[in-house]
Amino acid sequence: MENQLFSVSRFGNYLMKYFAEFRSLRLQFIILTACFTVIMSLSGGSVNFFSLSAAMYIFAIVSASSLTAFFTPRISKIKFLLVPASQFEKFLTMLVHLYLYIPVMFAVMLFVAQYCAMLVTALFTLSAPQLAMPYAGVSIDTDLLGMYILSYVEGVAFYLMGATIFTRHSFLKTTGLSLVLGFVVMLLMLVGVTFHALSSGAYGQLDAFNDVDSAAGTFIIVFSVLASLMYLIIAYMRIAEMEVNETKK
Amino acid sequence: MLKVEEMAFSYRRNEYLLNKLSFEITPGGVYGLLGKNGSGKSTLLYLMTGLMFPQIGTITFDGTPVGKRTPAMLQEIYLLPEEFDLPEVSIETYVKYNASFYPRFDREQFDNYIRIFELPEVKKLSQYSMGQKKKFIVSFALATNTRLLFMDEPTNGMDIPSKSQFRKAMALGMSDDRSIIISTHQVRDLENMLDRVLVLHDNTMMLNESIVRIAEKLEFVHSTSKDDLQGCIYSAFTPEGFVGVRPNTQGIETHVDFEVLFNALINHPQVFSQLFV
Repeated sequence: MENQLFSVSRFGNYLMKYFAEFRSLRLQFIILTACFTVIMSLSGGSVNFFSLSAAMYIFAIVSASSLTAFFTPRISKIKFLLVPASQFEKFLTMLVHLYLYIPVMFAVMLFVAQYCAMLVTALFTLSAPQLAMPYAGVSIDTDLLGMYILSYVEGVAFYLMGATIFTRHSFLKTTGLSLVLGFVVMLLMLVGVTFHALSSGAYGQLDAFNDVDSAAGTFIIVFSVLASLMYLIIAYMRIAEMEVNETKK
Repeated sequence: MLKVEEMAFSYRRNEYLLNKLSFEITPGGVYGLLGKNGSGKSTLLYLMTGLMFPQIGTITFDGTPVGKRTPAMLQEIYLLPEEFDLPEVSIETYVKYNASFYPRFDREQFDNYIRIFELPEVKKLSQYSMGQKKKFIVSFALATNTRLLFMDEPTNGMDIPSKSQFRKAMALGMSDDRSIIISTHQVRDLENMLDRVLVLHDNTMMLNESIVRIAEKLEFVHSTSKDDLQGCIYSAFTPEGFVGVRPNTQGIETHVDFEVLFNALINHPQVFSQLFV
């Protein structure tokens, strides 16, 4: 008997169905390409790391929140739950969408936008297109890349979890929740640092904060990884135990 | 095949919509699930397909709890809900990406159902009207050849010619190892199609009988004279004349009138509990 949790062929079938029926993906690609073509045309063919990473992050968390469309209204939920694939395979497909498809789509989109911007600039300046190597105008800050990947993974996991909890206005509610949680975490860290300063007898000295700098880096990485895992597990459990409520639309 | 044992379900605490339901769906039959509005027909369909979980009791498909929603179980169950949406894709794309989940899906049968329903070719499924979408999804559901097929109000939104097309398609879609459970208010649409009737009333399964046994036990009367209604448990006047139902003491086999049966049952449940022990 075929494995009921994961089968390559079943997962492949579900993945193909998911992307074939998710029509807005193509439209999203076209709109993003057009936007970045304009940005690159105006900025001389370049795009800075901050704009690019911010755009991808926002796009990813909004996409994660929009997956709530699988769970509401009721007819969508019925369709989603009754497809003969395991709930794990369905969840994995969502992760492929958010963690693989979106970064790849951005890479392809930048490639296309770069050459489109080149043509647009040539058209407006009535000059020959200035050919450049692919991604020549894209600057990547390697110092920030690691932290960016970490926050991308955590942010997307958090908003995916939010999509399984809040089926209406998921993005706004999850953002509200993230602000509350962020405030609590900041408060706890502040208390921790103050306690550390008091216990080490360094109260009132700026060095007390500097002491925890190296430890804080490691703490943030470990915390982010564990938090991401926890959000994903919660999201999966919510999907696996999802019910259709006949009394609610 | 599907076993419901001592099952109870409630939306609110201690207020059971369905209470102590026990019955079995065996292979090879068309079951009509009847009940008033709000009697829990759709809820029961959702419970039987694992979309809801009962508070008490169990529902199993070949021994596995349906709530587990395993792929092996889901590929043997198809639910056609009352409301549904179809993606904005072509017929070919829809069949290509959905049929692969159902190992016994038959493309020839699907094309045949499409012909029976006289569905025109369209570029995208969204171009179909609501009734045409319903016919499309019924065609797909029948062609999956799942062992259990649940339909919630399948004839809603279909015009008059479509209802006879539906009966034709259903007759072709039946097989010995398959059971179709139809929940509906449109009992006239199901005439001559049902093998068994399940009636939900007062939070319980008030009747679970085969049409053959109902015809053995009850005599349905259609007459222009009120005098012919003697001994009827239930009778009513309709534009066509008088209708009624009485215990079949003469051994006369009459055509089962579902509307009369249902009204008689909800008005005189105690008589039925004595007749169908």
